Amino acid sequence: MSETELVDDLPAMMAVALRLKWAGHDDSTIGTAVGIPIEGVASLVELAEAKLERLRSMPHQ
Amino acid sequence: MDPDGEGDSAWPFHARAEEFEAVVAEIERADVERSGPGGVCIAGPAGVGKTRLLTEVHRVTGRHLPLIIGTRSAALTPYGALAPLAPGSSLHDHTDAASWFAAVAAELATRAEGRPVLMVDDAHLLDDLSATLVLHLAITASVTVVTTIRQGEACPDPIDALWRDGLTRRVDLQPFSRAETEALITSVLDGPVGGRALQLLTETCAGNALFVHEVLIAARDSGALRSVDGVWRWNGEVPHAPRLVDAVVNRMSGLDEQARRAIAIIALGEPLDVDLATAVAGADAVSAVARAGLIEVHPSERGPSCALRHPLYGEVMLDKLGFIERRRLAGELADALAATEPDQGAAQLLLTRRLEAGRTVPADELLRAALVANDSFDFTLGGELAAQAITAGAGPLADVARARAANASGDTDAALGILADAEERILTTDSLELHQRYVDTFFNTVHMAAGRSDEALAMLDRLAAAGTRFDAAHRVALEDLAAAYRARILVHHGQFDDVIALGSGVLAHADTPDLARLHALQTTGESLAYQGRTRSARILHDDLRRLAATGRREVRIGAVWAGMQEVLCLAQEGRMTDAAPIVEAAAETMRTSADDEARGLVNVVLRAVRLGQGRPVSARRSLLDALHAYRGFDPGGGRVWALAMLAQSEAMLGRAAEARRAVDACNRDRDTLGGVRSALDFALADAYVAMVEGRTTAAPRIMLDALDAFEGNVMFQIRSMHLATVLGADPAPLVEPMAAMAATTECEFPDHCVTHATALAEGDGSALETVAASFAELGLTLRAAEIAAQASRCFRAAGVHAGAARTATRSRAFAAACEGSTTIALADLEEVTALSPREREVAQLAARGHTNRAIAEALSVSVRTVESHLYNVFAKMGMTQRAELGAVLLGPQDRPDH
Repeated sequence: MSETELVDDLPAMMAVALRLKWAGHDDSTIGTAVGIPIEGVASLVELAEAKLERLRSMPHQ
Repeated sequence: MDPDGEGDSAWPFHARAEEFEAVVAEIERADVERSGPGGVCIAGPAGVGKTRLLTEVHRVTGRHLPLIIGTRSAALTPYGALAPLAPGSSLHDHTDAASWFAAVAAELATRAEGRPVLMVDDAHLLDDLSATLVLHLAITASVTVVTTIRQGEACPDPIDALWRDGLTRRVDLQPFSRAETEALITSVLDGPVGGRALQLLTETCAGNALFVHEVLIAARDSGALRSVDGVWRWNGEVPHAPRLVDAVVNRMSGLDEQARRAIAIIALGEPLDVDLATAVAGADAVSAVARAGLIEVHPSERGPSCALRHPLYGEVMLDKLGFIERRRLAGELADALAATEPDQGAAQLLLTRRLEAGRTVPADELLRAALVANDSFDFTLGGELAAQAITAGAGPLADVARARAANASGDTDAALGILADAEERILTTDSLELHQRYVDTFFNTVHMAAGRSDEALAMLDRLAAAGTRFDAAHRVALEDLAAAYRARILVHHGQFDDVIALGSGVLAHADTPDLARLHALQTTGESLAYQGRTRSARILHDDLRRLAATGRREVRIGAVWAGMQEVLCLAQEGRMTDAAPIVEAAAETMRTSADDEARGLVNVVLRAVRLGQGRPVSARRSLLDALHAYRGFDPGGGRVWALAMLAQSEAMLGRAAEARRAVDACNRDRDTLGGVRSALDFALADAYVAMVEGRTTAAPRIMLDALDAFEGNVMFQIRSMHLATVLGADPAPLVEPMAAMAATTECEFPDHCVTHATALAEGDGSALETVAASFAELGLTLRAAEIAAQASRCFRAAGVHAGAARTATRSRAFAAACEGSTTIALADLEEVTALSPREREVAQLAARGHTNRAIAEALSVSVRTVESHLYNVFAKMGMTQRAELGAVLLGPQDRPDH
């Protein structure tokens, strides 16, 4: 499964946050895009990365 | 399923491992650092699982403090929610708040060994004094604070300050992803869940754990969700059980009447243009709904549109409105829509809302709306609108629309009656659109649904004859339509040469109607595939894709057909490895399609590929989905085809009674509903059932007896003879006729079959070993296992023990990837005793690419011992190179290069 497909398997807003982060956007932009305060963005991105890591380690057919 | 049997504790803690670890890590960090404030604020919408997460964290790290729960009633009393934390001294013993706060902190310090962890659920409901106390405890680092707050709700300022001022870390809990929701539903229901049911449930719950909980309970209790043949099925109804309604209404708490009215208006029109929504519902109300996170806004060509974030919101709100109010709102929405320049989608919405509001709608608008509804597979609405159009005086096209809706809804008799009454008016009306829709509806009703091909052919004669009433272009168009649909009937009966002749004639006309071109391309391509002329067929697939790419309504389905025809070609070529990803992608695309026919077809093809790969368990699941899809609508015998394949799956799994039941159900209707596509599977079902019932000599005979029925179908004849040899028929007399047929095809697979039969007839173990590898390469894993087993027997008969051991091992490796399949060829494979357990263990690790040193370390033996075992393995298996181990010992899924 490709990295793009793995990101698609994340909860929708986590996928959005991660893509924006990878594209170089700041926390303010990400927070606005996903509808959470800027103070929650770092955690959201960290959780998204942790979930993505778990998906990477799962066997896929 | 017993989600309510033991309270929330019975509900699985699901898909929150990362969030749980993050919260616990923050608590541990604060405990270690001690000096500063610390903790977590878990935020999110209602039902997303905040309380469940907090409860789990409290269970693990609660440190002897009770879980505090904020409620509206407790908020009426100062410090009401925090009463369990009160120290022995009374509040009134303290002269100021600071003294009281210090006493509470001192009391809490006595209750835990480390730093106490104060957990407050629904902290947004705390009274102001409690909130201030919590903030004080956090600032003074007296406790680690973990709170939950509901997104979009007003929150006491001290609680907001916890995360806003960096005293605690904010974690925004997200709704589950689709995969997480599916996994939750599957884990809660004690048994497999049908694919369609799973998809609909997942969409309905939209990642909200509370809604999953309530929908499953309500749907199960009402019977909408029930286990059929061991698989959970859902009819799509969401019973508005009190608990579910409460859960939804609770989500909207805090909204005033105007905002709730806005939700209802958006529900009536979604996706609704944002400007229109604000014009009808009021900008403040729409803003309030947006702030509460109940709608989402999407860009579109006509500007931003809004839709409810969850389908249950609209259903519950509209249900609570009542008929009168709903009718009034529909009227308001219709008036607002009428003032715009609606596109097709908006026009459809306008019309349905006008009808709902009791307004009069002209006949031509009703007819157009009925056609659009049918084309969108909303046949209930299509039938209703068509009936109203007929009443309003629309022409015979309305009768056709009504017949199509009736047939697609399963009422074929009603459709037949409507068409019979209207045919004379239809064939005397000068409208090519009417004639195209008529012939398509008539064909789907009379031939596909009722199985009366003679009547369909007679109608096509009448259609072609009617052309004399019109101009030359119209006449030729009708002749082409008649020819294309005649080809569809002939292909059903396996008359491929006639089909190709008819199709070529139609395709020679540049101006032929879209529908005629579509069906000519499909039937000609299919006929060529069954003749083994796959190279020629693929040229037509490209034409089919180009036609679909025009985007015209009648031919859009051509893209799906082209994909399925490519899979058909790959299947005739035995290339299951190549076919699998195509059909899997199509099945994924069709998961959300309302087109039952296309979805059922794709599922059946997916099953065919799974069976070809030797995966009966995967096939069985797909088949049960297909059978469910065909319950409502079964054109073209898809149901009996699926039953034939289900019988094969059950037989391959050794389930004789289930296989017999499936084949009996299939046999009841297969003579009337079966066709060329399913013919080979009918024979295979009979043969496999004979096999699992122990009638092993009957099994190959059934495949050979079926040859007469496959006359003209070169690939089915070759495959039938080949399968007979796999099931135990004498291969010698079959080699020559198979070779003669193989010479007429454009693909290699028939040659593999001939090579196999020849090697088997000659008892040539080495040749069979090579053939097994060829079949494995194609993805025909079960067949490869069977041929390797045949090779082993040939080697053994010739006294080549190393070859016998090697191919038997190889057969087992292939069979291990076949989900427990048992067949005649595999049944009497003799036990391989050539390798000791340790030798097998060492050999398999070597086959997976491990070095001798790595193997020695893994097994705690010396490198010299590993070398000794491998030496014995090579000697016993007749091999000389390490690279050969993988091919012999590992299945296709286990290879390092897979």
